[in-house]
Amino acid sequence: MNQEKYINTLHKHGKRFMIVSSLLMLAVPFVFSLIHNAWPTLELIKVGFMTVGAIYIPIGIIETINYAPMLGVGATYISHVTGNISNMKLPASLSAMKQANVEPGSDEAEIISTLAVASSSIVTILIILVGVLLLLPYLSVIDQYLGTVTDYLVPAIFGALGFVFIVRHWKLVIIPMSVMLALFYFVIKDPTVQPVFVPVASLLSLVTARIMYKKGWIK
Amino acid sequence: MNFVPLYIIGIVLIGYILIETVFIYKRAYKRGLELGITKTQLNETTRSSVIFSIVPSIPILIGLITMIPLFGDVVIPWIRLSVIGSVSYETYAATAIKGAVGLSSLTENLQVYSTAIWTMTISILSGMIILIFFYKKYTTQLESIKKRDKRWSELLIAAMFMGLVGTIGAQQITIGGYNTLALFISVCIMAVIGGLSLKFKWLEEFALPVSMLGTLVILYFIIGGVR
Repeated sequence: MNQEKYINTLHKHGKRFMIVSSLLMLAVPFVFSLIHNAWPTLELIKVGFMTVGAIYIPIGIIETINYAPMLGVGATYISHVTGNISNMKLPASLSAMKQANVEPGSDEAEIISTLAVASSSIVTILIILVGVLLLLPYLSVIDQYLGTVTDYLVPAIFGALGFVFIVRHWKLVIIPMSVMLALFYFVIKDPTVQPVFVPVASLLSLVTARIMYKKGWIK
Repeated sequence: MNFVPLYIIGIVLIGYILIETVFIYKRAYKRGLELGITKTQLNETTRSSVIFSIVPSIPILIGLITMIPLFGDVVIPWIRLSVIGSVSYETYAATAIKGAVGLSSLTENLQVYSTAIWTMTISILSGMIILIFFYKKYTTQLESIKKRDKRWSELLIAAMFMGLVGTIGAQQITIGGYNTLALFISVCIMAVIGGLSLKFKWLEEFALPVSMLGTLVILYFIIGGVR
């Protein structure tokens, strides 16, 4: 077998892998809705798309375009099902290629990267599985204690996440953050409506980032 | 709420992923031998990747714990974190939808719960859909797009996230009270762990989940009381 044939078969298997696993992922909300007879209304879908889809759908596409050439074919398929690409799969692949002393993009790198990402994915899935089994008896305890403060999960995440982004790209945050602060202080005072402005802020952020990049203010 | 059928789907989905991954692994291993890579080298790659992945997998579990009260059970967090997705993404998606309809808990309303899990699932599938339809055709083109302006494509993602960070940050600041306090505590914990991880690289992966859980624990003691 030559490499071209290997890659072609890999694409065939990869496609099957993507299709079956995305259908199984979709089966989760589908079965939930079916057994509880609770389907999303058009109004709710709109909210979901404005607050979540409008930002994460394009990010998913850009990330795929970004990571695919670095990971190689086999690793791309596996990592797009198992996730944690930037923080685990990509570093695992890069360090394995470096350790094996293969040139990224070569036939050998394709193999090494696939082995690294496959092993990494299996380890993570198994650790989460064992963790979940260990946690099962304590679900009500966790709910009892953390349940009272779950309302603050969002600031707890975005404080830490925001800090990292601001440290790395402080110039990018100034305009979207100040515009949103002004908007929320003076005009849109209802916090439940505010997340709908995420796509607006992202667009604003994109335009200002592009201008700053073109002008050479950010490198 | 009946979560049993979801456990069954979870087992099927994760079992399927494991089988396909092992299958792709085996084929790559065989192809590696054909290419003349030694068995020792292939095994060494596997061994070091396994070891490499143990520590960064643990923070995913910490994040999973924080998601349990939100979803009322462990099954949704388990499935969502075993496949593509992340603690911050899933939590943001669920709370944004819950907040938009003015619910205090997702489990209060089944319709909102189902919308949250539909949205979380569909919005993360975009990358996979691209792979299904365009990946093979564009394998080479992808490379040239990336090479053309690597820096801008990185900034593009950062800028889009900034819209999210800016909006939610501004929201939490204008709400005031415990929300602003939580934001501040989380920033402080992240700053400390971030600083330490410059020296201890392995801490990096723990920074986000420990900041989250730490913030919730501190808030619990400040607010006081068990539900």
